[in-house]
Amino acid sequence: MNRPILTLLFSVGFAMHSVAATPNPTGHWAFQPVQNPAPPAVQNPDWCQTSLDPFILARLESSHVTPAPPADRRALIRRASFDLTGLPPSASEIDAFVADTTPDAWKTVVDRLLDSPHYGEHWGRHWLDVVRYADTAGETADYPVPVAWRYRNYVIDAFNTDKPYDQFLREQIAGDILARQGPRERYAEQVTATGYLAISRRFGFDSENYHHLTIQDTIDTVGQSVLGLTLGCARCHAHKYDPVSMPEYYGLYGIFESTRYAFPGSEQKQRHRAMVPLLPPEESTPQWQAFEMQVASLTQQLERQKKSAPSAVLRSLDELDGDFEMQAPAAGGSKGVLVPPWVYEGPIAVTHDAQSPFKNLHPLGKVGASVASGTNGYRIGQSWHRRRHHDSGRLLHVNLDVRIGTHEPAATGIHRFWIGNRNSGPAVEILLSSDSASIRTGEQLEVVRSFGTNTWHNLQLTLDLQAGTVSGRFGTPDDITAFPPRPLAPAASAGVDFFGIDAQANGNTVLPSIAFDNLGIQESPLAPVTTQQPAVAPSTEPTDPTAIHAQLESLLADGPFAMVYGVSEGTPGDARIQVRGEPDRPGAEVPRGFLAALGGGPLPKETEGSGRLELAHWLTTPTNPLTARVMVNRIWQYHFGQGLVKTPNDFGTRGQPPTHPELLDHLATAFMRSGWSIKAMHRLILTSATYRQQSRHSATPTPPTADRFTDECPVDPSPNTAATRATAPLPVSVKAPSVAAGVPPAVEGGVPPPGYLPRSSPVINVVSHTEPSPDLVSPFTRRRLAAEEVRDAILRVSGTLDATPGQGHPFPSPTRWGYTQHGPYAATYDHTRRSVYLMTQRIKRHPFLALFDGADPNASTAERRTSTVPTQALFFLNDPFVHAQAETFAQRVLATTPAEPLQIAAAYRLALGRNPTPAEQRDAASFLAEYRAELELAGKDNPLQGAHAAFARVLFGSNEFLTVD
Amino acid sequence: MSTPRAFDPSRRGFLRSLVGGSALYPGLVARLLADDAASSGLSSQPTDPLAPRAAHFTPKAKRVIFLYMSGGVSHVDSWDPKPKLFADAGKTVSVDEFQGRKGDFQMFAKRPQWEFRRHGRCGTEVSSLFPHMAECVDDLCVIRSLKSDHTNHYEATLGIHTGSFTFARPSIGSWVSYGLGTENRNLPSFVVIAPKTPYAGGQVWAGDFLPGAHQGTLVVPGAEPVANLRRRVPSSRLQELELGAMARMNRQHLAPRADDPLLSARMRSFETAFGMQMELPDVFDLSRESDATLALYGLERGSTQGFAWQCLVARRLAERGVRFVELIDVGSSDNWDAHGDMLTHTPLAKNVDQAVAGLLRDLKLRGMLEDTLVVWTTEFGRTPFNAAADAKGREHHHWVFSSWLAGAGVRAGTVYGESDDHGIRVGRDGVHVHDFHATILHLMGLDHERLTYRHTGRDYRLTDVAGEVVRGILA
Repeated sequence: MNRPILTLLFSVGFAMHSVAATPNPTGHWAFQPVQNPAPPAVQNPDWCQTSLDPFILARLESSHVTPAPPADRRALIRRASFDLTGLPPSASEIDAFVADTTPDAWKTVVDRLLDSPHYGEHWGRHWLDVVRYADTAGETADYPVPVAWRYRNYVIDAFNTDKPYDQFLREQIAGDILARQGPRERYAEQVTATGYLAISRRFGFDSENYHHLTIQDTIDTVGQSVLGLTLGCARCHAHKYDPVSMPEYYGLYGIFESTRYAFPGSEQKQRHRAMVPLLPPEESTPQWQAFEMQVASLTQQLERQKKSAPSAVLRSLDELDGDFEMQAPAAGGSKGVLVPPWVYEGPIAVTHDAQSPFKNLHPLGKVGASVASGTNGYRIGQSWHRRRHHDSGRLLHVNLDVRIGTHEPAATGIHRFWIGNRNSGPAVEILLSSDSASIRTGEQLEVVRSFGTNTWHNLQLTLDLQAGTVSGRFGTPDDITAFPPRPLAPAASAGVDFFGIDAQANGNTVLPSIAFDNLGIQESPLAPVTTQQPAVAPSTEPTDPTAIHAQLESLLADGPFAMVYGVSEGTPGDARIQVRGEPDRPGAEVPRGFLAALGGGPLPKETEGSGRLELAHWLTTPTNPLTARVMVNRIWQYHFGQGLVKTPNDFGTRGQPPTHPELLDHLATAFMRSGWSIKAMHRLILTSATYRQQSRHSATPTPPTADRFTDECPVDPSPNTAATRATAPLPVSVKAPSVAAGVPPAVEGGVPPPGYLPRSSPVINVVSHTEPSPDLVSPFTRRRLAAEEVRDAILRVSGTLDATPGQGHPFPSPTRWGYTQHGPYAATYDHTRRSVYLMTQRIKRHPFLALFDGADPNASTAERRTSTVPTQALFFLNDPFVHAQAETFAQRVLATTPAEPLQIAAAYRLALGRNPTPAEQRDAASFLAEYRAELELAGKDNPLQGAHAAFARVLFGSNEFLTVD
Repeated sequence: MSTPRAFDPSRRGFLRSLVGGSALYPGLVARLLADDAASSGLSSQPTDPLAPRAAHFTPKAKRVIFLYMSGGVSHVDSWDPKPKLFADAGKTVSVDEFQGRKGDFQMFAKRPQWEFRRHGRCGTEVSSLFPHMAECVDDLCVIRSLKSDHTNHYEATLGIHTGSFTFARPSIGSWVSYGLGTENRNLPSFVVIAPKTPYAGGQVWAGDFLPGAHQGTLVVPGAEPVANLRRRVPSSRLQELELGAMARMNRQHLAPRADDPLLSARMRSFETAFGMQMELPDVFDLSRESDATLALYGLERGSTQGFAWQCLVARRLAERGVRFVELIDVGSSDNWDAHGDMLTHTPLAKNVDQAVAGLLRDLKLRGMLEDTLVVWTTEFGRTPFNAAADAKGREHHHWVFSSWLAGAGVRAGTVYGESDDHGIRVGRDGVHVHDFHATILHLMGLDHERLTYRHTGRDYRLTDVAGEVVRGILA
């Protein structure tokens, strides 16, 4: 989509329109400030273990329902292990917990699980669901994004290190800006976080042509993931239900339109670009230059041998000209399409015809931009980050090649190239008429030289910001006119951050045609203009073309340094409303900003960049009524199967109200006071009596002190079962979450802080209730394992799980990409690492993850569905993965002991973490005997292992293996 | 005629006899018998998303066979005769958009490659591209005024399947399954038979936000048409042993857990899977089809490839109570996308023509056409013009194109709607994709405005916020 240019951008000043009336914050609960309510009085305070329990108990008591009895220790450790790490506990972990008589036994388990690196893999996956993570872009050819994994691992690491949630969000929204603020050692991490925005879905066969849809996708996901709001409705009309106006929607839109997204490639443009270096620019720029030289050298060697070189488009973020190269004309078309960070209007074409012959800036190039002769004005420009001031202490070197068209007496119009400040105007202007070039700085105007038409000329400027001067050269390689330093215009004192090429429409004045190419701004000196390829030092590199080709391919695939699929600052500007959501129907321009109902407003006038940094702060300010509530609700939901708000991505008026509004606020307050610590929230929840209830069982519940699995166990390979009967009710120490500085104090004076445990009120009997009541959070909700847990648990118990973190995937080299909608990218890459490290594609879903209700990689998944379909059963019966793991499992069991009863016990302990009952022993023994006999009858090899593998499949497919009580 | 088969009695008898003597199996048998009692009343169980459900009103059709031609079949070369296009071939026509680009374009009218002739008692004109289907026109309602919203394959393919041209949404087959459930729980309710992946991939048959049981089950012509359908253990007896042990273990697990429906539904799914292993291979076993039937479809005995195989398997699935069968003829390449040469339509037409005609005749012979809706469609048509006078191919054309419906509730032997003189725009009675979908749902007894699913706070429909039932198509 064409980026509507800003009326005021090229002149001085930056208007702040008043926003059209925003609906007043409604009385809707979610927009009210977070309170810190006092825990309600309860009749049975002894039941309560942490500060959250009274809130649950009070509701149960008023509904005349008794809480479910406490779960036994086996159920509890299995529940906590899956909830926190997504993996089953080992038999020895279970035995240790059952045998632990210390008061801190439960806390020890919780701490151990939270300290496990598998915790981040499991909880990172929850976040990846919410932000619809994928390893491909999602446009019609589904281009792979080989570096997306760095963001995935950033998320996992953030959970493992308990990164404060507010910081986690700020980094994902504005990590590239924060990275420049330091410290240096966190640069790469913070830049990587912006993968959150970059993984926005791409559309169409030329996805930059549908960038407005990608921005919509970003806004939808930010709204749902952080705020629990569906903002998308306001794209086309004032939000009917929630206080989001159209101007506010486009206020957010402007922030993301001012942001540059890494480009993954698409059918039309089959190479990625604008990937974000993990190094700051002062380190990356020289490495880019060395890299480009090396690429050029190898390419030339191949060309000299008349061999084709791999496609060499891999462009630096700083390389302005690279954009022309990537916006080349579409197949069958005559013009390319310019995309952000360019802002432009008017009849500008990107064409092969506008290719400059000069090689000093870019040895390889195919296209440039041009404007035909005529009376129409045009403007093109972009911001340049960071803004350079006089105290930046460096020289800026500017390169531009131009060609003015045929001299016609009627063509008296003037083109202008300028560099200066986005708000206060040009520091220096180069004016190009049909026969001469002039330089203007403020009031000073001087002709540099005259020139002939239809000839490419090179302009080089050197801005000395410290001295406040500009000097330069203009001409052709054998005819250069230099001009001495002269003072910059006063606007330069505001800092240099913008450049543009434009011409005013002025009645009937005809503009000569213009072509321009090789635009560059850099801090290192420019090479003199030349039509020769830059001389490359004679190398010791291979001369065999196959070897050169291979070297070039790997260079282009790897780049000069590690990069991420992230975002960077684009050209800041306000967006125009799109009437009925149609980008080709622009309406009024609206200032960038954040929702007034959530404490936002227009961006401060002095804002330098896109506004993402300000947005990040708006989202995470403790007075924002939604951010903390939404996240504690998610944490609650992932532990209990249902959120306090049952629509975790919709806290708006169309969503469900909370079942326990006061508890939600209590948790949100505790969360912010703990310094937004997610692990503190886990501790608060897991140590509660609410969490430790039994799941739905028959009316006569098993007494919590009985361990019915071990009591009648005939054999036990474990050395420490003697202790397993000692399952006492769990003593738990109640601790208030640590309080962090910077969070406002409790709203009501004299109210006990979260974590305080009230002890009062008499005990009265209430009616027993065994039906599941998810709204009452009693009993605990049984659940089936999620897709990843199914696969990981099978790998784990079979002993084949590779517990090391995954990295990238073996994608084909980018130099070979040619995916189209006719032949889209499609692959699965197998490994035995955890499932969070599986390559996930957008168009073609991973077959296993799709079968077991994995996350939708195209839209925020707030809750996993649990479908029960026969094709899942076929997987357990016949899938090669299950059969292979079952064989390994059988080998593992057979290796433990030659005695069959012990083998059966070992299988139970490995798969289910418990010993079999005598009846189960008998059943298993007769199964093995019968199965083995059948195999022998059929003349199969190794019937013993075959029978044990079959028994393993029975265990893997059993409900006990696949559900968590 | 098909009969609902919640659980095949013959199979149950077989199971009982097989496991009767073993001490390991009472759990399984008890479970099977319990299922028998439950299924006899066809009661809708909340845990079983595929249980049969009543339609909104009395349906004309009980099931759909949806034939989708991938790539964009040229309407002016097949179902939409344009004498003026023949007459004006080589002359220029003005259009304001070409392949997604706005502007003033002077294009050259291109002569259709195939001649048209009247067929049947109704006299509907069809070109010689589809000689076999042409003989069936008395059973068809040809729509010559279908229109779509997008000129690109991906979006248009998504649109004709989901009603959404940009975002993934549930497929029409998933919506029908969600609305009506299935008549045979040994088989999935929505089956897609496709040799290759179409544009937009599996999104075309995905259930998206609908419960997972409604997603299409993909059948790929060839050795293993359904993943993991083939028993991996050496004998059925061995699998029975495994299933028996698992059923027993699950029963013991279930008992103290208050018969949690989550757990019992999973147990039942293994039985359906077992049923699929038994019943689906039978669906794919064409050995007992007569030579006459095979000849009707143009299928060589033993072949498991081609649209003829797909059509015959579709009939067998329909007979067994599968609610929605979609057949996709080819994939996202080497398809009807005839930019380079219209003659590439020839082998593609040969692949489908006799097979589709055979399917219609076979359904009719068996009395199944009375309660089966057959849909033939594609994502868009092809331009009646091109940029060069001597162009051999045609480009994408979504402004107007042709499809047809046949069978239950359809006004047979008729034509609905017209394109303009050159087949460029709708001339009369335009049918948008949403209207097309609304009409299909209507024939299934479903009101497209009432068939909704709440997701992210919104009630979603197949037809988004549009669509009208096209009365003129209804018998």
